[in-house]
Amino acid sequence: MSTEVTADESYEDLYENAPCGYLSTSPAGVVVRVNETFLRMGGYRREDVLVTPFEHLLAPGSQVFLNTHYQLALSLDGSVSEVPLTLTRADGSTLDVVVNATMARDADGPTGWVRTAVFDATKRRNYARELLGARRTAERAERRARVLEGASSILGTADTEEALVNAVSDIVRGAFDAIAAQLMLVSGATVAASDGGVAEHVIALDVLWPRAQRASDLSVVTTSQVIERHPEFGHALKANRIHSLVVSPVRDADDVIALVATFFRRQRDVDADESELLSALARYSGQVLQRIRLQEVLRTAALHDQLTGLPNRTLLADVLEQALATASRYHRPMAVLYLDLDGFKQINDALGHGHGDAVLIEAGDRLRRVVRSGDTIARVGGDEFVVVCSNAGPSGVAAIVARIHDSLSMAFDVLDIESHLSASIGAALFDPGDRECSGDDLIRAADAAMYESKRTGKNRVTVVTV
Amino acid sequence: MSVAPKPADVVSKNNVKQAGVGDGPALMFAHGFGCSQNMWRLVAPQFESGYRVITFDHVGSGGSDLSAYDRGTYDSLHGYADDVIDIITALELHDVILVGHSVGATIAALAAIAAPELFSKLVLVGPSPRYINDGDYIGGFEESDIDAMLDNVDSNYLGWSSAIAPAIMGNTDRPELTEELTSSFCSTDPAIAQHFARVTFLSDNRDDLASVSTPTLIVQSADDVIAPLAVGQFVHEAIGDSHLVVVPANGHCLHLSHPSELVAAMRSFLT
Repeated sequence: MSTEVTADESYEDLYENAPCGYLSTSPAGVVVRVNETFLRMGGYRREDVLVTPFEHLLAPGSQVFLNTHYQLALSLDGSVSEVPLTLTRADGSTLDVVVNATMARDADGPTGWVRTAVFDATKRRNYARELLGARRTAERAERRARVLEGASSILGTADTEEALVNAVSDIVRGAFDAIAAQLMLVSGATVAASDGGVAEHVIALDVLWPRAQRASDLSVVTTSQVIERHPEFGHALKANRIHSLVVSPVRDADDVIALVATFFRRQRDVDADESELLSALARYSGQVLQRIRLQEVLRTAALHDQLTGLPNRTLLADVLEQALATASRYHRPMAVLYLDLDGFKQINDALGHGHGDAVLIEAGDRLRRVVRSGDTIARVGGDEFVVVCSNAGPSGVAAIVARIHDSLSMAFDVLDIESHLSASIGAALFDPGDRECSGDDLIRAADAAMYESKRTGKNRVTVVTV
Repeated sequence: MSVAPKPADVVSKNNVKQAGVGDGPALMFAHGFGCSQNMWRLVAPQFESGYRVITFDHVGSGGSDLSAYDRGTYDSLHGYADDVIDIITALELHDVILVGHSVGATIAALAAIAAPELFSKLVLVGPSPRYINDGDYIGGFEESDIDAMLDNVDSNYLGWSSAIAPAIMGNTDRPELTEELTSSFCSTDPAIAQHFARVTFLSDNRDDLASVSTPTLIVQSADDVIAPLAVGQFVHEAIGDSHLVVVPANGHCLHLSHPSELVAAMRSFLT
């Protein structure tokens, strides 16, 4: 085998037909020398490349990368290696390459003259793209799963509307990199909307959820659009530098019961993945909102009398306990009134249950109107009511009792003009001092006093001190 | 508004560096996407004899406190502009001359709109309020170009260890490259870089420019693929009190490629 150097291995040929593209650029960034291999790679004519800025030979994405990363690295270190870039060929097609480059130096430091070797990297870049695509898909799926998992554990524990609103806002803000997010509750045709800051506005549902959008799962509303429909709210958004809102409806069957809104300080579109995630969070928020509202209904039902809407025995026990605790702490007198409607049984028997119920409802309303705002009235039996009066001594109780007797003595619409109603009342007064007393003690005493009133002629009050 | 930020907090959050004359006029530099305050190393020192020179890294870049990167806050350029205001407030600066490059120029404009009383002058180097073409407006890029660029950033981070980092870290014959400089350039988190790129290149702040009331110098390269000349002219027309200087050069980073021309343009504007 000969080791003799042939004419083909001249330095010029080594340069021109090297197994990689090769070019030199001046400190101004323009190409001053280029080899044949590079021209062949790009399908360029030599005169198209010479005196052209190197960045003009790159696809736009690579131009940005060159200006934002590559040049800094090159100038800081004097060389870069294996940097992926994309060339724009003479025919407009692109070619993926990797480049190594070095910047020449002299005694004063970098000269700005750069030598660049360019390698065709189509296969490697395609592989990298596939890898990147797979990684992005995996990351998106992971992120989505993480958000939904977090949402299900946090929202699952929300037991009031307020807690739900706060939890949804935190979760959605984090999931969408939004400056703010809010679960906005819809009431009829209006929505309680925040402006991304602290202020609350009540605005027409149409402003954030236009009719045209209602078939869809998502609406992107810009601040300028909001200003057209609701200037006050729009300007509040603008003052908070909000540019756009992405809104997803929370539905109960066909009704929109809330909106999940994300606030952005830039123009923002959502891709299919994000749209699906926002819809999923909205759906989930809706389920939790309905659960909370149902619990609220059940709680109300469990603690109130269905006919009159007044507190029942269970709630009365709670209220009484609190009243006793307050009375003891502040050494204030209190009272419990036990009240039985005189002659109610006869009305019920004579006129039927329908009329009897109407009388009870009306009596309940009248009692509500004549007691003090802090007092509690409970219905504890067929025609029996209990009133808890905090901070009331003998004269206060006498005044309340007088108002009750007066209000019940007036004619009832459902009754004959002659049929008046009255009440036998037992009042148990308690002045704490250093004594203790239970709620049951007070009720028992008031009940006994009420029987005393019945026994001694009805329509009167018997007062005892416990 | 929240309570006034403390100097120590903003210094560590934004890696704030001060040099020059303590009681001189405040001259503050905001870097662009993909880099750090080191980009100003050929320009900022030239003002140290007459100015109080302040450089810093945007949160998420360089030697900033990455734990301060709240994605919601930095989902728009306003988050970065608020940091500029915080630094000025914490250091008790006034009549600040704020210099911004590229997206740093847009951040500077947003800061000057939010708190005009803090600034005396703005210098916008290669500004672009919107990078994507829109009707008659030539931003220089199509949306697909930006996607390709985001891919490029990602694949470079994918191959980060073989592409850029070792080239910098491996230099043993470059004593002037301090370890700090090297680490600050390399520490950018890929997820943050991706988000900052998205926010930078998908923002549209054209409508904001008319609200800039601070006297402004625009320095623009004659041939810049990222911020074409037409964009520089657009910014000049949009900002009432502005002056446009076109440097006969190509490239987007005048502060690296043509520092003396940039310094000369700034000096004649500032005096």
